[in-house]
Amino acid sequence: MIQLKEIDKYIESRFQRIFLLKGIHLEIKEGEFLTLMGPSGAGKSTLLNILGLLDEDYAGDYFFGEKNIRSMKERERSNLHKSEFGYIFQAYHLIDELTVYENIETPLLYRKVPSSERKSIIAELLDRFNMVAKKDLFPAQLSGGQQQLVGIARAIAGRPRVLLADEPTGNLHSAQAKEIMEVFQELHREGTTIIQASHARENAEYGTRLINLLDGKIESDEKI
Amino acid sequence: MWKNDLKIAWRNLLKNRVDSMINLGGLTIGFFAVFLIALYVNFSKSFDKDLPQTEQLYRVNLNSRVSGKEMDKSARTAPAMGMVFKEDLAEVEDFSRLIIMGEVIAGQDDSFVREDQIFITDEAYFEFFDINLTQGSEEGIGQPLQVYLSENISKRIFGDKDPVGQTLDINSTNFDGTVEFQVAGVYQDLPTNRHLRPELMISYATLHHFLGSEIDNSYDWLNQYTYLKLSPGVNIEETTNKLNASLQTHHGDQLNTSGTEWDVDLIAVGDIHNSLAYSGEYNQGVDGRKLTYFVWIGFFVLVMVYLNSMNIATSKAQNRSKEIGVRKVSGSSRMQLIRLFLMESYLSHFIAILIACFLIFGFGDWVNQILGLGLPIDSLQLSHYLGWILSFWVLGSFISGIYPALLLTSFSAHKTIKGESKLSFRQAFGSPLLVVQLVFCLVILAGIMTTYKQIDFMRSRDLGLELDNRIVVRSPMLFVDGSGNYQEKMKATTGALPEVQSIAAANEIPGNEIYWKTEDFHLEGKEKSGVMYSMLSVGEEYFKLFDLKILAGRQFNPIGEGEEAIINQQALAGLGLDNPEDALGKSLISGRGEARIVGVVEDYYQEAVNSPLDPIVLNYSPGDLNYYILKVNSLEEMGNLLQKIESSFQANFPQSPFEYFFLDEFFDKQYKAELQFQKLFALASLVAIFIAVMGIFGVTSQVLLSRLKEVSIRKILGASSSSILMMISKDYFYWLGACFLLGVPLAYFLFTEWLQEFPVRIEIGWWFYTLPILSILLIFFSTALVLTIRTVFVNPAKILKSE
Repeated sequence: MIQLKEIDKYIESRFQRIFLLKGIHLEIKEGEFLTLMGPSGAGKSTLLNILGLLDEDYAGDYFFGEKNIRSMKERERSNLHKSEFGYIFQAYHLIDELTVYENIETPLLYRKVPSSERKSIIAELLDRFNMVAKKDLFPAQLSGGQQQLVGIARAIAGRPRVLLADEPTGNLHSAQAKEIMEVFQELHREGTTIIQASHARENAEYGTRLINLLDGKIESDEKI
Repeated sequence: MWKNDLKIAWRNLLKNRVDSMINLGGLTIGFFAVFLIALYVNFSKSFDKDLPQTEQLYRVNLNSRVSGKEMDKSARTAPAMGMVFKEDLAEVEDFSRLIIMGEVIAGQDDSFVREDQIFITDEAYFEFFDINLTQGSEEGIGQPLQVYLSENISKRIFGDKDPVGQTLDINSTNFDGTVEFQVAGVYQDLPTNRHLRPELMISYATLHHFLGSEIDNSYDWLNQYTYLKLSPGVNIEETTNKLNASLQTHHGDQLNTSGTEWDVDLIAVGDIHNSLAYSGEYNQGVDGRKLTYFVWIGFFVLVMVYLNSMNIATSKAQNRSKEIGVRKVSGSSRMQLIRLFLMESYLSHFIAILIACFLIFGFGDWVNQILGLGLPIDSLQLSHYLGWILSFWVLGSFISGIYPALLLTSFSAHKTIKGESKLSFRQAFGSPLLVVQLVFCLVILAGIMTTYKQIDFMRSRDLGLELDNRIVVRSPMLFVDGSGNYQEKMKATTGALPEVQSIAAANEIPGNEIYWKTEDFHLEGKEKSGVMYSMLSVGEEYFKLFDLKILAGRQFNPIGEGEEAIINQQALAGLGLDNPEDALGKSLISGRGEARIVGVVEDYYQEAVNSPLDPIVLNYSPGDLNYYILKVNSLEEMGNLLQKIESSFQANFPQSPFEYFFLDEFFDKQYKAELQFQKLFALASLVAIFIAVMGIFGVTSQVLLSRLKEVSIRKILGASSSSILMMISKDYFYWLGACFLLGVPLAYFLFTEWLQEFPVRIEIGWWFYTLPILSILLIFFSTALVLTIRTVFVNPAKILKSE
């Protein structure tokens, strides 16, 4: 589904280019649960940003399905971004001014989903994550684990085929982390492609594939 | 979608209560000031413009020159002119004449009013100025001793009685007493935006009754306004030339013999209120240039308000960069985000406009009184301005909302979400904005100082006469008991109180124009010189009471032989004399007879120092005059003193109301226009300072926030607090320097221009260059320094840990 060819990302400094990513070749099939591991600065987040179409400033080719991202028009790219990707962050990044319900609703609004359909999708998600009673609370009133559940609900509300997660459990203690990872596993079983960046080896165990990054290069690529 | 945006905008408003209050407060005060200025300018420009024939109506003005030297540009003309112009020129469809009566007392039985908006008018005036009779008929205007009343005056005098056909006593010095009139009709009250608003109109035939019908052919009696109704679409310049040709034909010979040149010009009736070009206007207008200044002030304030709104939106939105990022990641397009930011701008502007409107229409009268604008706020209708307010809202919110919206949404999602772009906005936007705000602030501060100094200068200038501790009591209503001479009675009773040092009667008091003007005077054996003299009748102790300086001769002597006159230096020059001594004993000849000059008095300001010194001829009158001026010991026990004066007055004139005022306060009223200007400036400066403080607060707190880490690291490396303070403050000096370099020349340019309007004016001195700058420094540092010091003494460990 996703193919990266010779992806380079660098910053120009005075005497040389500093590479954040160098020569990344990567093919990801639909339904994979892939974990990117590596120390700080290895390029995990950078790679995730490129995969998620958030960063367009790189060299090399990125094919999504049959289409080359670079040859797509701005509007097509934005539509692809909207319909195919969901994002989860280490720091949850919920909108503080919105309730749980409204936070989950936001991507649906941007996708122009009709009101009745929106309601049923959100009801279903709230039910699934056992958050029906909390739907009118604001993020600040929730625990970290709960906030991340809302983050996941928001990410999958638009039914994306690919879920990108940048250190999703980084701010959580182990019991909460376990709960999140189990949710990921379940989503994976339902057919969602998941790509997560993580420090923790145990998170990789939930997935099907593990890629180790070091200094912007792929060190190892193994099936689990 | 927009519902969602609105909801978020509303929550944002509620969430950051302090920020919202500051923002809304700034917007509200700003809009309030701007609306008020707009209403005032709009009102001042609306005078006589809604008359049905306003396009065709012009007033004739008279410019007189003596041997090439301009003497006067007067709004007042002679009775013959209108009629002659209509006969000679086809394009003059009709004319109307109006004569000033000055202040009168009018009433019946026990019900009297004082009124100065009373004029003698003719039939055409009804048509020209859209006067609608509700009772009676227009026929009375052609008969002598008929009077028309406004509904307001009719109600005050007659109550619910039917006024038509009733008799009305009018007491005026012009009649030398009381004359009985008959009420011929009642007309609807005139709107406030008329350059003249007659409350009583006396029939023109009354003039013939008193002065004979030959007054219609007079060119000497320059005491009336002449209005012309011209054919639609005529060329004004051509018409003016024809008018002057006509004037030459009929009156040229007479003018030539006296060495005077006359020409007339026309002013559209709709422009009269906004012109100060002519002397002899009855009601004070508002100069068009002054209105332009007001518009500029309003514009300044508006720009400040918008800049500030942008500033707050940008600095607040920075803290929301995470939210912007999340929304972008969730699939929001840039347009949708811009819409969200605009929605917030629209919402806060809406609330601010609502409050500002409420303030204006709710507390209108109060504001009006404080500012002395004379704006008829009660009669303003909100619905009239709905369209304007709506477009103001739509445009203003867009202008002040679009820049932050565009700027903030231009950053890419993965950067904003990490908060990486925090620094860059402020550097790109904040400082220039702050400099602009500071420049405006400086200009307005300089303005308030200049206006204050100028007004203070005019008020404290030596007038040549003393006004302090002078109380003016209006003369008793003359016809109350019909018993002859009140001047003697006043002097013998109220004037004899131990607290009253002296008392003098006069027909006009300083601060009022002397309406009785004539060019009739000349010395025996000489021709009239064309100089316009003011005639003032005074009682015995007038000169002593005002501490006027007699340069030659003596004061009036009540037992002197024949008519005596005292002239001022201007009149002395007008008569062609240089030395005061030369004038003594000479005969001053006029149509009224002959008077011997017994004294020459030093020039003094009858009116405000920004009006010219007029030639004045004073004559002695032992009879009834309009005002009694009392010089009292001191103002310490004023309440007590006034009570004594009042009870003495009431005991002697039981049927007359006791009306008094302090002469210095009365004189100061002439500076109304300047005071108004100053007050408006004060309002603007309040807004400017408020906004500047918020701007300084916003910018410095953002800059400091962005340098918190740098400060922490420097501290760990051993920097002292003072060196850090120096380092941070360096930026401030760049801003302030830029502000002074731009602001001081701008202010200098603007206010030297403003001062040109005053014949006597202050010099722009050291204070102009230093005081505004010092004020700005004070404002700036009292705001910025608090914030800066807080940063300097921050605990570095805490900051760095959270990174």
